[in-house]
Formats: sequence, structure tokens, C-alpha cells
Amino acid sequence: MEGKLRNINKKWAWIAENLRFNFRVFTEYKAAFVLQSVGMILNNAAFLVVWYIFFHIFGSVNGWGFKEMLGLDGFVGFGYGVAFSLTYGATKISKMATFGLLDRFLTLPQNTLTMVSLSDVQMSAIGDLVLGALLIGAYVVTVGPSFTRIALALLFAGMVSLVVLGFTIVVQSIVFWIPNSQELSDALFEFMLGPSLMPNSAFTGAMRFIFTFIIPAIVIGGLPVNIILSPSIKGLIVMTAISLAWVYLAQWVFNRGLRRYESGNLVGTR
Amino acid sequence: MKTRLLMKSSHQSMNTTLRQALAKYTYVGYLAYKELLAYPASLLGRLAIHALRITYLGIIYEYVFTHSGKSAIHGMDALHAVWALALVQLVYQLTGSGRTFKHFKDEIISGQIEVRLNKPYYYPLQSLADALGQAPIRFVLFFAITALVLGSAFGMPTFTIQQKSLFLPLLSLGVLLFVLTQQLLSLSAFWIEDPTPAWWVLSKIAWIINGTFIPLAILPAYFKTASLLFPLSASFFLGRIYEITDWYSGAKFVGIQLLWILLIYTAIYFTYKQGAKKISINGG
Repeated sequence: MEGKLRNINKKWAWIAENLRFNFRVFTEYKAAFVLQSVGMILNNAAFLVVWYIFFHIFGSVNGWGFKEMLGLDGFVGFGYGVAFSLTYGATKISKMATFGLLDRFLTLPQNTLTMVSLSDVQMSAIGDLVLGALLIGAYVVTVGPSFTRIALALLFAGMVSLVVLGFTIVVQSIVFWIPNSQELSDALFEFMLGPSLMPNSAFTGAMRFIFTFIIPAIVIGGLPVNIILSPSIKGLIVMTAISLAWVYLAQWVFNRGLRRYESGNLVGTR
Repeated sequence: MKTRLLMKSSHQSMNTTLRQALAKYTYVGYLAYKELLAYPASLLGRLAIHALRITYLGIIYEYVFTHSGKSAIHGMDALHAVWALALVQLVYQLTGSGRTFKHFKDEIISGQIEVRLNKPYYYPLQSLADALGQAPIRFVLFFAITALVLGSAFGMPTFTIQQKSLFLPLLSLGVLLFVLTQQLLSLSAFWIEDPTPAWWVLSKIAWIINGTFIPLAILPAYFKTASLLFPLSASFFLGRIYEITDWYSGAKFVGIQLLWILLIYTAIYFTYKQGAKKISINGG
């Protein structure tokens, strides 16, 4: 038991060291880091302007108004920001497999998927993360802050990040079955991101089912927004179950795919 | 007689050069077209995303028009709003949103632009031909899917004779202007480290005044005025086709697009010339 705990501690220490190393990359290029992060914050803020104008004209969409859009953009931005700033390598699985670049991770004594995911960072995603956190905070304040709502917001922020990462890994792993499918993987990711940024309350029936259980577009924005507005145990269970399902599915699909991977002849170091 | 012969010969040589240039850039466009067809899964993926995007935009607009109790805003009803948004998306799809900006900027930042200088073409034109080469086939496919999806889910709108006649000019000039604007912005990479954040911000400002998410026809008048003054929104005048009520209003849109194309191409010519002087080639 003690040995197991030591192993877990070692693993977390290794992940923390990787993250520290990646953050040093950010601070090395300070000007580019600040410029890209601020640029991304302004970029995302444009969405809010669009929705402000939209709700000014139409009032509401199935009970949703501008304040719900604050929460929606907050969760999607935060989830994307965490997943892409810390584990950007996951978005390159398809490219790595195509060019035989996964070899260098296979020989290392750590989980391959974790290694691959932590192998790269995206500077601009820090902007998504920062604005996302601010918007989640603004949403909780506007709907009325309480211990339950704050706790749920923190919990969901983490879950949304896991779903974004899980979905990314699944669509990137398509390459193990369909060669040279990088663009297809990117397109499928867009397939989820696009509707996730729309007022989800307009999606009902079959479309709502698809965007919740097949493409998790509503899970990364609309669902947490609704649960925080009207907290419920059922909502918490659904959100937790879907998040865990995506984490396990990602690991399973990647491992199954990796068995089909054929080594490349490129020489690289890590 | 000798002068006339010389003039004739110079005229013929100019014609030959033009013909050769046209053939060269047409071939670049043809290669881009072949590249598109080389990855059918990717193309199908993009078509599916386009279909999905216009569907959910349609659902949202149909919902808000129905439930807000407004049958029309400034003369635009739900059906025309959905089509206006889809036509803006069509312009984006014809060249790939931001593709030219990324390619051109990456060439400059990575220093690969030095290789382009040695090639027997003028790089901005090569890049333009590369971007436009896929446009005709993309138009056929994306317009077909737009008509199929929107026609079956929401219905087909009617077009006046002026709107029908100006459809292709507004689309072609819009696509050309969009590519040129991307080229001009990417040229700033000669002077600043990375113009990507500037592109993000400008392209998102454009969303507000080019009808990407809200048709301009239903916005207050000052948004429409702003859209005339900004090339990234003039590129998407096709989405304002329902505002064309007579030949004059249509000619105004086409005229503004032509003016922007002229101004931006001139700016590209001089900026590229200045930028190319900044390239220092190392011995590597």
C-alpha cells in the first residue's frame, strides 16, 4: 500500500515537474506570451459583444439571457484554456502518429498518453483560461453567489476541462484507423466547439440528446450553466458521469489505437 | 514602318508574357484544386460542419423570431435571416477562414519567404491563385449543401432579379477581397514578431459588423455604416443581398468592394516590396 502511494506521489511530482518546465517556455518568450494571451482575451470578448447585441434585440432564448452566456463562454473558455494550455500535445496525436513521432514516447517509463499530452503547450490558451475564470466568477455573482454554487462552479470547471481533453484525445486517435486524418480530427473538434458557444437552450429533442451524449457540446457549457442556476444532485451526477466517461473513453480509444501504431524511422530525442 | 513593326512585336511579346503568367497562376490554382480533392474525408468533414453550423444558426433564429413575437425586424424575417447568415458562412468556406493569413505569415516568420523570392513567380499572386483555386469547386459543394439543408429545414427564399444578377459578383469580389485583406495583414510579420493576435482581434471585430452571427439588416444603422468602412466586413456583402432593393443599392455594394480591392492590392504591392528588402539570408 505504501509502495503504491509512493508511486502515485512520484507520478504527480513528475506531472508537476513537466508543467513547471512547460511554464518556463511561456516565461521565456514574455512579449509573445503577453501579446497572445491578451489577443485571445480580446478575441473571446468579441463573442460577448455579439451576444449582448443579440439579446438586446431578441430578449431571451428559451429562458436564457446574456448572463447565461457569460457562464457559457466562461466554462467553454476555461475548459479549452486548461486543456490546451497544459496538455496541448493531445491535439497533436494525429500528426505525431502520421509522422512516426510517437516512438520517442513509447520507450519512456510513464503512461504514453500522459507523456504525449504534456509534451506541448499553447501560449494563447492562457488567455482563454484567464477570461474563462473571470466569466465563471461573473456568472456566479450575477445568479447569486452561495457556497453550493461556488463549489459547483469550481468542480465543473475541472470537469469541463477533462471533457474537452477527453474529446480531443478521442478525435485525434482516429488517425490509428484512418491514416492522414489530421484535418478530419480538427474538423470534428470544431464540430463540438461551434454549437457549444451558441445559446444551448434553443437545442431541444434529438439535437439536445446528440449534443449532450454523443458530441459533448452542451456538457462543456450549457449543462454546468443550468445546474449552477438550479443546483441539483441529479445534475451533479449526470455531469460527473459524463466527465468520467470521456476520461475513460479517451484512455481506452488511445490505448486500442496505439496497438495499431507502426513505428516510424525518424530519430528524435525527448 | 519599322516603328510599327517594333510596336507590333512589343505588343505580341506582352501578350505572350501575360498568357504565360495566366497559365502559370492558373496551374497553381489547379494544384490547389487537386489538393482539395486529395483529402476527401477532410472535405466531407468540412461540409458536415458547415451543414451543422447553418442548421443550429437556423434553429436559433427560427426560435427567437417565433418566440419574441417579432415576425420581421427592419423588414427581415426568420427565413431571410437564416439565409443571410448562411451566405456569410459561404464566403468563409470558399477560401477557408484565415488559411491565407496563416500560410503567408508562417512563410515570413519562418524565413521560408526567401525561397519564394527565387521562384519564377510573384509570391502574393501565387498565394492568391492558391487560395482561389479551390473556390469554384468549394462554391458548388458548399452552396449545394446550403440549399439542401436550409431548403429542406427552413424553406427557400425568393430573390429579385437584381439580387440574382449580383449574387456572383458580390461573392467573387468578396472572396477576392477577403484573401487580399488576409495577405495585407500577414505582411505585417515583416515588422512585428507575430501578427496572429492582431488577426484574431480584427477578424472577431469583423464578426460584429459583417453578419457572421447577427444579420446586419436587423442591427441599428450605425453598424451598417461601419461595415462599409472596414474591408473585412465588405468581403461579406453577400450576406446583405436582401438589402438590395434596386440597381443603385446593388451597385453601391459592388463599387465599395472594387474600391477596397484596388486599395488593398496597391498596399500589398508596396508593403511586400518594402518587406522583401528586410529579408536577410543567412548561409544555412
